[in-house]
Amino acid sequence: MKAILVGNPNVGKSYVLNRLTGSRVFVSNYPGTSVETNRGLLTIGKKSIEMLDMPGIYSLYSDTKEAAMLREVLEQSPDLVIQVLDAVNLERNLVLTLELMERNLPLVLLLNQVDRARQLGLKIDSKALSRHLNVPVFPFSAVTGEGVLDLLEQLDKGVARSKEVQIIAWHDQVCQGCDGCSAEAVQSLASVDMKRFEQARILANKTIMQLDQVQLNWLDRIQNAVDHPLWGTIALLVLAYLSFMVLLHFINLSEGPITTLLEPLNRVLSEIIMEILPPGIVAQVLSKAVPEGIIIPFTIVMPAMLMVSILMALLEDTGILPRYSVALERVGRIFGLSGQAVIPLTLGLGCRTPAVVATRILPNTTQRFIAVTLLSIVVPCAATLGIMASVLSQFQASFPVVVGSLLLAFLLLSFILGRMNPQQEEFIYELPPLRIPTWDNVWIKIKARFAGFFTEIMPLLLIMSIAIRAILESGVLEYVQEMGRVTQVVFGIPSEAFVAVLLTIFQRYLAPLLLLNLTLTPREATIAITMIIISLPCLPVMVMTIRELGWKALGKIIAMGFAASFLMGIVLNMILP
Amino acid sequence: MRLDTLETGRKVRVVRINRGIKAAQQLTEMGIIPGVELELLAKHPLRGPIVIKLGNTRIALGRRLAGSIEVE
Repeated sequence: MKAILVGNPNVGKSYVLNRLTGSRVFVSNYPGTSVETNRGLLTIGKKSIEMLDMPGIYSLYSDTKEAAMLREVLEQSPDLVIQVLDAVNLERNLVLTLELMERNLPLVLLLNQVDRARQLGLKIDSKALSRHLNVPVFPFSAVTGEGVLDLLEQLDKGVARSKEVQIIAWHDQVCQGCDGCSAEAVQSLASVDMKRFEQARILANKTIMQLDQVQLNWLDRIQNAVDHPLWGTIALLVLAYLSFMVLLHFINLSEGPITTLLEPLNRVLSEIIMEILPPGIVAQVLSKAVPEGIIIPFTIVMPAMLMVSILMALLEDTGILPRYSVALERVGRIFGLSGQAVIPLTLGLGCRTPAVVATRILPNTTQRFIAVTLLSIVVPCAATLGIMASVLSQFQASFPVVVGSLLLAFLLLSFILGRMNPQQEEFIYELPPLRIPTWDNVWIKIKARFAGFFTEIMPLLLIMSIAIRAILESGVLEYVQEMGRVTQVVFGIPSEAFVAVLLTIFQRYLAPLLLLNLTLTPREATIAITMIIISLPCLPVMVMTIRELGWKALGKIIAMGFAASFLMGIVLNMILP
Repeated sequence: MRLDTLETGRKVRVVRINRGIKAAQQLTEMGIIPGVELELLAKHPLRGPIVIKLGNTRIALGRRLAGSIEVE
C-alpha cells in the first residue's frame, strides 16, 4: 500500500514522516527544506504502508516542478493521500484540501502543530471540519506525538474515497459590497479558481474560534525585533560575524589539544609500520603517510566540520536562516540573485553537495546556475575552512588577503553572472515563525552531517596522503622544477605549490596536504592558498551538478573556476609586496 | 493606495492586484487575494522587501510585487 504526504511548504510533512515511520529525514524551520521526495515505511499489524513525503506546494496548479510532480503522482491514484495542514494557518491550507478533494482519492487531514495553535488561543473544531468535508480529520502534533494513535487506528480501518463537497453554492453567495470581483481582478485571476478561496474562508470561519487575545511571548518579541528593517538587519549581520569568529577560534583552540592527544598514537603507528615492513622506500613512505593521513583529518578538518554542523543546525531550526534572505535581498538583486539564494549558499558552508540540490528553491534555471557556480568556485565548505585556517597559521600567510580575495572573487563573479540574467524575478517568501530548536533534531543533523567525516574525508585523506608522500619521496617533483621559473614569474609560487593547486581538481581540501610538506614563504603561501580556495567543484559536487543542471553547465563552471583561480593568482602576484 | 506606499503598522484590505497572471497567481497561492486583510510589518530601506502579516503568517514580498497590490 502506498500513501503520500502532501501539504503547503513548512507545515511539517517530513516531521510527520519521521514521527510515523521512524525515518531520520532532515527537518528544518524554513519553507523548502525537502526538495526531493522522502520515503519511509509504516507497519500497523500486518499492514505495511510505504509513505512518500512530497516537497511542499501552495497549490496543485502552481507553475512549479514540485506541483507538476505531485500531479503526476496523484494521476497514478495512490491508495491514500495524507494532507498535513498547519493548524495555525488553516484557511490557506484548506485551499489545497479543496483542490485535492476534487480528485476523489482516499484522503485524511492532519491538523499539525495543533499545540502551537492552542498557544495562540485558537480553538479548532476538527469534528465539525470532518463533518463538513466528510473526510477524517485529526488534530496532530508531530513534535509531541499527539494524534498519532488516532491516525494509526484510522489507517488500520481503512479510508474511503473523498467526495467533492460544496460548502456554499457560488452563485448563492451574497456580495457584501467588496469590489473584489471587479473586472480586472477577475481577469487577472482567470487561471485561479477564486471559488476555493471563498469556500476555504467560510470553512475556516465555521470551525475556528479565537479564544482570547494572546499575550506576546518573548519569542514573538524577538521575532518582531529580528523582522525590524534596520535593527533586525544589523543584528543578523552581527550574528553572522560572531558565528564566523566562534568558528575560527574553535578551530584554532582545538588544534593544539587534539594534536597533543593524538601525538603518541602518531609515533606508535609510525614505529609499528617500520617494524613490520622491510626497510626501503615503501616503509619510508607509509611510516610517514599513514600517521599523517589519520591525524590530519582530526586536527584540521574535524573541528571545522563539527562547529559548522552545530551553527548550521541552529540557523535552520530557529528560523533565522530565511531572515537573511530578506535582509540580503537588495544585495542579491544587484547580482541577479533573488533573496532565497542565501539559503543554498549558506548551506554550502557545511557541505556543498546537498547545497547544490537545495538550489531548487530558486525560481529559475539561470538563477540556479549562478548559485551553483558561486557554490563551486567561491563558497568554502567546512572541510576547506578547517584546512584554510590551519595552513594559514602554519605559513603565517595573510588572513585578510585570502578572505578579501575570496570576497572579491565572489562579488565579481556574481556581478558578471548577474548581467547574464537580466530578467527580474518577483521575490515572495513565507517567513517561518521563530522556534526553539529541539536538542534531538540538532543532534540528528550534527550526526548526519558529520558522518561524511568518517566515510568520505578520512579514507580520501589517507589515500591521498600516501600518494602525495610517495610523490615527495620518489623525487618526481624535481622534474617539474623546470616549470618553476614560469610559475614564479606568473603566480609568484614555486612549481610544487602549483602542482598542489592543480590537484584541487579532485578534492579542494586535499591540496593543502601537499602544501604542508613544502617550505613556502608567507607570500607564496598566501597566493597558493587563495588559488586553491577559489577553484573547482569537488567530485561529489561535479556529479550533483551534472544531475541537476547537465554537462554543459558543469563545463562552464569548471572553465570559470580555472579562470578565476589563475586570474586571482596573477593579480595577487602583481600587487602583493 | 498601493501597498508599498503605506507606512509600517497599517492594517489594510486588499482591493485588487494590478499585475499579470503569473504575479497574481503567486500572490493568490500565498492567500493574498482581493478582500483579505493584512498588516504591514516592515519596509526595508533602499527599496528592499516589505514584510506583511496575513492571518498568522509573515510573508516577505519584493518591492515591485508589493507595488502591484492595491489596498484600502
